[in-house]
Amino acid sequence: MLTRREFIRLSAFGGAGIALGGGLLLDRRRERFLIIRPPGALAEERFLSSCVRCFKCGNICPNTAIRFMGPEYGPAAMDTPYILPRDQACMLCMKCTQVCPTDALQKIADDPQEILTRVRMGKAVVDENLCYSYNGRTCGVCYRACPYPDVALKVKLFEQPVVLDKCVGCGLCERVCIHIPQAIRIYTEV
Amino acid sequence: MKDMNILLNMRKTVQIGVVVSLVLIIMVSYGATLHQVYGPGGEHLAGLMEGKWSFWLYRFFTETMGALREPVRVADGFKGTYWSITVFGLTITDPLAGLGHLVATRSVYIPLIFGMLVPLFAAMTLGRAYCGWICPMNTLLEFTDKLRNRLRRGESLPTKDLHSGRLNKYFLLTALFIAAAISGVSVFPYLMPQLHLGKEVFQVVYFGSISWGIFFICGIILFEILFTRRGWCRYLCPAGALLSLLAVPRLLRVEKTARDCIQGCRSCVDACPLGLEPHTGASMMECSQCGLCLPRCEEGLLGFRWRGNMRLAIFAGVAIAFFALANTAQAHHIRGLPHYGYTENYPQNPTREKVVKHKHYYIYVTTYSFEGLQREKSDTPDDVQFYIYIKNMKTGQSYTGRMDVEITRKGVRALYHRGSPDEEAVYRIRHSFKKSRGGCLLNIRFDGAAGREDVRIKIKLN
Repeated sequence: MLTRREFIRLSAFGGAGIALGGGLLLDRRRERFLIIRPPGALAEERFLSSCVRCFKCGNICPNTAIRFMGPEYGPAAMDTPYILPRDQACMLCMKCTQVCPTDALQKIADDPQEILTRVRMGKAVVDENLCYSYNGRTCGVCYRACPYPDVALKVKLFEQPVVLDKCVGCGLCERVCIHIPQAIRIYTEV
Repeated sequence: MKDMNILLNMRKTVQIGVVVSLVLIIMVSYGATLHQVYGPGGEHLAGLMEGKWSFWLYRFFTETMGALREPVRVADGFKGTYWSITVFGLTITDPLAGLGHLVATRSVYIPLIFGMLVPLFAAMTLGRAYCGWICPMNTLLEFTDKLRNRLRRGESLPTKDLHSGRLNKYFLLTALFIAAAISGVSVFPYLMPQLHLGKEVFQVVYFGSISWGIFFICGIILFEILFTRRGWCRYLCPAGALLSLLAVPRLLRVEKTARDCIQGCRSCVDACPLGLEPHTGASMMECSQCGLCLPRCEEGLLGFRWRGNMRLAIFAGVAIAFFALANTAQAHHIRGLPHYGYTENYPQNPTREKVVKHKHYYIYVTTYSFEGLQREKSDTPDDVQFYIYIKNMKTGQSYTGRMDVEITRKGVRALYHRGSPDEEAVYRIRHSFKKSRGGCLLNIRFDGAAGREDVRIKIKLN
């Protein structure tokens, strides 16, 4: 079957495969900081397994919100999709979940109620030290951008925003915040 | 001889057609995106906001698809590149992507399996035809072959054997399966030049940038130009290895008729880009069905032969395509645009920021270089404003004490002192660079709970 030389070569390739696998495993377990995945994404570690890097979600996104990671995010996450809400937020059209060939992005119908129950990209957090409305001025821009006003985000007197539990983390509030740096921000785990 | 020329021309047409249609899919996709962001008749707005290129792509989309009733919906049915593609709303996925997913996640996802069936069946009947007829890397390499032959005045590069063994690609495939099983990351996409080609087109059209894959492609092309023809395809390509394994029972074969060859004639061996021996039939499962050897045989002995029942094969193919693809077809829904925050409502809002975690402090640095439509004409085109904000994540309090910021660029240092924040809790520093392109280093010092903290942050300027 195999000559001795070929067997040695096979072992060398196998060893390299084991080393590569170990390195990627460590990198996959590493904590990635402030990364927002597209809607319907599996939990981070399982997402990295399931994503086949086909770029279709970025291709179909009608808002160019989906970007792809470069080598600076580590080898295990290279070429996977993410969203920078401050640059361009998700407008919850759910097209990326329909086009994904794997289960990395779970299929979610384009129905406001289903989106509200199944999408959890993160949760908005208001920084009251920064927010204009909490510092003597009134603004309310985030409330007007929210796709689920009074369900995900409500305002108190003087337009002071309060994030509710049903927030899906689409990031439209972060996108439109007029404060620099943004006073409302999406965090994946709070 | 004439029908062979028809065959070769047909192959060329398919190769060019595949490349052109995939580039078209990406361009139309981006046109559809612009169409949705800027609305009907928004090409001038798109051009103003994103540049001339977007203006042309918007026009391209309206000129090609505008006559349809729902152009965006039609465009949504065509997505993807060589790794996984959706045509007419039906998804076809590379078997290697599917197997990688299977091994990495250790779970079966049924729609993905259905998407793989068509290419699997094609490989088992037609062999490695994907490599010779569709793979864009092969098309590109055939083009570089031509270029090189012209540069060397017709003297073509021989298909040298590097004595490194064709088995290497099977070993590499095994190694990658091992790596995927251990790490749980499907590693194949990193090593697929055809995927990288599609990705680079996508990156250029969508973001006007290139990504790391271009180095990989250039490496393969350089190897091709300097050493031997199709070194990657012959010795390393994991997709080629998988297709070769699947091609063992293939029905379509390049075979010689019973008559003997001319003694010592190796025309077909010289013609084969993969360095195979069509006249002996050894390891022909790696044949890419390109047909380049057929016209080179002086006796006309070589030809495509169909083994087995062709009618049955065609029937099975149509049946599999019907069942597999019907399962992946899905309706696409379009929803109205949200009322706010969708297009560039606040074009002057700086969005480039870097967030760094230092102990339990989060440090946010937002960079604003006064970019705008008239930046080159402004009085201070090389000024950059830094907004620095520090938050203690344990207590939720923002830092409002004193801060020193040192900005270093190419050995030139500038030191800024702040006793208290400039506005609310934000420190605002405006600095004039010699030229505000490239990168700089920020050295931020502030008083933490446990003494003086010192953080270094690398910032990219434009």
